[in-house]
Amino acid sequence: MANYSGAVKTVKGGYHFRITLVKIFVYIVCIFLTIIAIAPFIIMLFNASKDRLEIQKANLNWAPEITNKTIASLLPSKSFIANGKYLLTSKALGLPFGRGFLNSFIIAAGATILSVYFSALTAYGFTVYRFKLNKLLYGFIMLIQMVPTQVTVISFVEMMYKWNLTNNYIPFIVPAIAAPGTVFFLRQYMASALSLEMVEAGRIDGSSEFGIFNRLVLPILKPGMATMAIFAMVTNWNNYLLPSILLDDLDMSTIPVLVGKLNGNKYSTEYGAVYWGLSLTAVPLIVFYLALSKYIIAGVALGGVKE
Amino acid sequence: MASTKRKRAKLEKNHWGYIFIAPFFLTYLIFQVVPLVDTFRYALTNAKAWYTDPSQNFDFVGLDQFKVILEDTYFRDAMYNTPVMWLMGFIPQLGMALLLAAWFTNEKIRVKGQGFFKVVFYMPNIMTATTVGVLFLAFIRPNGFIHNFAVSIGYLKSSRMPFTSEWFGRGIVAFIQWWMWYGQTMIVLIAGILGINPSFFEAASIDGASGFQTFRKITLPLIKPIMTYTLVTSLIGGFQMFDVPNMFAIGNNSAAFGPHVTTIVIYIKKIAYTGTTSVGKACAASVFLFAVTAAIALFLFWIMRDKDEAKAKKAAKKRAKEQAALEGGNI
Repeated sequence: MANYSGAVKTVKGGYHFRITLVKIFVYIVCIFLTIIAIAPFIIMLFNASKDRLEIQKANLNWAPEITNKTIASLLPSKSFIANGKYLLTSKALGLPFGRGFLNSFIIAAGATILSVYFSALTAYGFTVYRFKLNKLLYGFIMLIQMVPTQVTVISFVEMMYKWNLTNNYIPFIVPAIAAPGTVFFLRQYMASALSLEMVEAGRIDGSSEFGIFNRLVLPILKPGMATMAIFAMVTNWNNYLLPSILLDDLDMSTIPVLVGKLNGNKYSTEYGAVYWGLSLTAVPLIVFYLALSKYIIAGVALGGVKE
Repeated sequence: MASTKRKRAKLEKNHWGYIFIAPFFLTYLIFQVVPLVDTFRYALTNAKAWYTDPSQNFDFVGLDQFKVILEDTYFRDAMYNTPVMWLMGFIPQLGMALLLAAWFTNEKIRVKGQGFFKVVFYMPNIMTATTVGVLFLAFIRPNGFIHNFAVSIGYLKSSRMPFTSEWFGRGIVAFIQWWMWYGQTMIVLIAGILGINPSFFEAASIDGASGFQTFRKITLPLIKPIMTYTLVTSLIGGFQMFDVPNMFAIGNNSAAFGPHVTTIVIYIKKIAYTGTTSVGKACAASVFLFAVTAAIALFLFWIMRDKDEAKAKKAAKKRAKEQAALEGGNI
């Protein structure tokens, strides 16, 4: 960067110098934001390997001068396995995280499969058939995307109590059939990816209407459905409010519900165990995210250009 | 155009449309419409939670529940906290996202490693909100690193005293909302800016417009629809804020913030399933949430609308109609 300082004298050089300054500033901001985005997770992982005293003592190391002790208090330590054992198996503190992963997976996978398949079915119905209420009903789907879902939470819970569906997977999986946002996305996707001539050709070959959809159309929609599946998976995995009311049996609880319990009184001094539990739930998601980040970022960009 | 026979076949096939969309509407009816109607119905009664009163002997009380919640200071706190915390997070979220989007799409700056930065900035958004909430709670509790920092700079007197300032509580919730969402908004805005016809920018450059002028006069007006969309979806989400503030509002460790970070949904859940389990009151609050969100969303759409856009929409509709007619002819 130093070579540029000599060029300030000429007009063109001044311009380049200014751009370089802006560039440096941009990179400083970006690196700062990168640290803010990542640091909480690093601290979480490192603290998961410390015992209670080590975390407590880190307290005193914010002194202005950096000593060996400061550095040692930032790095991981050796209580990782002990903390894990404590959280998973101890009678007083143990939470069934293994079972929680299974529950979360069943709910998220079930809801994802239903929402993606039936959304494709619905979008196909609107795209291919010209029935009387087509426009009106599609307009209705656009409108209900805006309805705040939490408004109906209490009545939904009351209904589930009446139907005796507490501590059950059904309230989290079956309603996923009606996913207005996914229908909207797949309808847009079909407009560009699906040719109606192909549907016509399928009919001439004598396929049934469902046969055409399942065998000819679904394979074409795969990329769009995969994008929606990733987001459905994450949303359903992270869902908290409804499970926190309807799943009061620990063995039926999902990961967010179990993590919420780490906020309770009996964990108030078990710092290491709390960080360990948080890491346990964060790491699989981070791995999932990094593996699919290309598709996720592209999906976010697509989702925004809805207008 | 076609024979009567073919026309009839077309008609018969088109009935399949109803069969294809039936599962969606049936599910929506049972799991969304029925509870929505129930919400309005319960709001006019003194119903209690089903598990405390399985016989469901409740009376119609008219608008009494609305009067009760409007006099409830706890509900008033929630009505204040929710929009305040949303705004405290949303303004810097949109500002940061706009700034980054302007930089990342600027030809002259040409930021390298954009793919990396996008992945990193979006990462917090994918995390379980409860995990994030408990994590930051652990940071601000005595012995957490933010707490320790506050002690070392003398903001807090003792290493055992928790944070108690109500604005610190709202601030940390707003910070987390910002932290989780600015990356998402940035990606959406970048996509919007990249969708602008490049000839606009070329014309501006030929006219000698500065980078800032181009941004203000060309980029901003053209991404206004996307910003409206972001604003409205964020507002609807913001009024339903629950997972993160809930971690700071419940539990003994954080009781210091209790009423100061309570949101409307936290209030609804608490009123329905603790104490007297008043489902009637909770549903009245839900109706209130519904009305307020709808009113503000409509108001935002109305002030952000512009005439050119309305005209463009009309034209687009006409085009869509023509295309539909064309497609209809094909099938």
